[in-house]
Amino acid sequence: MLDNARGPKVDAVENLYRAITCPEWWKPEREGPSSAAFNWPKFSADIASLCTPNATLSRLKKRGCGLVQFNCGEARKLEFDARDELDQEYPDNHAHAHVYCNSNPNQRKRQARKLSELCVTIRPPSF
Amino acid sequence: MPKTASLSTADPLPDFVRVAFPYERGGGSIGTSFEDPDDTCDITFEGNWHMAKYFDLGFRQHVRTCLKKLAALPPNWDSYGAPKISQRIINAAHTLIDRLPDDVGPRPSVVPMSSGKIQFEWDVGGRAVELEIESSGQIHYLRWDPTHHIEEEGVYSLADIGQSVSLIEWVARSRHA
Repeated sequence: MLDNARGPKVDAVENLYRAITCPEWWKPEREGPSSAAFNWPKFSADIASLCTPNATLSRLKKRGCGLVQFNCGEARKLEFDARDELDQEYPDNHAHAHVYCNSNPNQRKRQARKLSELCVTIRPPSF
Repeated sequence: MPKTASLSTADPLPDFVRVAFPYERGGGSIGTSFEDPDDTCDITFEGNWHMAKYFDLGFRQHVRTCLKKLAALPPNWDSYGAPKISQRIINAAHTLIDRLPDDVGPRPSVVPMSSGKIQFEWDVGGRAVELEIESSGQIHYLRWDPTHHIEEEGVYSLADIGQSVSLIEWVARSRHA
C-alpha cells in the first residue's frame, strides 16, 4: 500500500497493545510473545492511551488471551509503522491502528523478533 | 527401584555414557547426577556431564500432534481474520520433520502464523532458531544470538536437510555452551 493511502501516523510517544490470541504465540521460557504474533506485512493493535487492556481483550471472541505493549516510536525504528486506521469489524473502536511492516522481506523475521523482545507484558495469556 | 549414579572423576567420560544421557525437556542445565530408570546402571561417577547428543524418542510424535492440531484450526483462529493453515504447508512441515535425524535436538514450538504458514521455534539458553515453512519447498530461517551479535536470516530449500540439521544443532548446543 502506498504511504499516502494509509491513515495518519500514530505519534511516537504512544504505546500500542497487541493481543496474544493463541497459546503458541506465547513463549513461557521468555515470558514474552513469539515473533509470529507480529505478522508481515501488517497487523492490528490498539493505541493504549485511547483504550484499556480490558476493552481490547473484551473485543476478542476467545477467553484467556494475553496482552503485550510496545512503544510506537521504538517500533518505527524497526520499520513497523503504526497508522491510525479503523477496524472494519469494530468501527466504534477508535483506538485501533494497523501496524505496517515496511522492512525488506528478507529482513522481516529479524525485525519481528526484535519487536517481540521490545514488548512489555500487560497480561500473560491463560488459555 | 531406580539407582542414582553420580560422577566420581573429572576425567572425560566414556562416550557411551555421554551419548546415553537422557534428554529432559525444560531443564536449565545438565545435572551432575544420573537416574537410571531401568535399574541397569551399576557404575558411579563424580564430575561434569557433557552433552553430546539429544535422543528424544517423542520428538516426531510431539511435532505430528502439534501439526494435527494446527491443521484443524478454523478460519479466523487468531481472531484477526487469519486463513486456515494451508494443507500444503502442513504437508511440507511433515516432510521436514520426517527427514530429520532422531538425535537432532530438543522439541520445537510449533507456531501458527496469521499468513496461514507455520514456524518451528527453538529458544535455548539465549540462542534461537526459527524455521518458517514459507512454501511447500522453501524455508525462511532466523538464527539469533544477540549476545554474540548473530542476527542471520535467509531462505533455503526444504530439501536441504543438512541446513536444517545444522541450524537445529547450533541452537541445541547453547544448552551446554
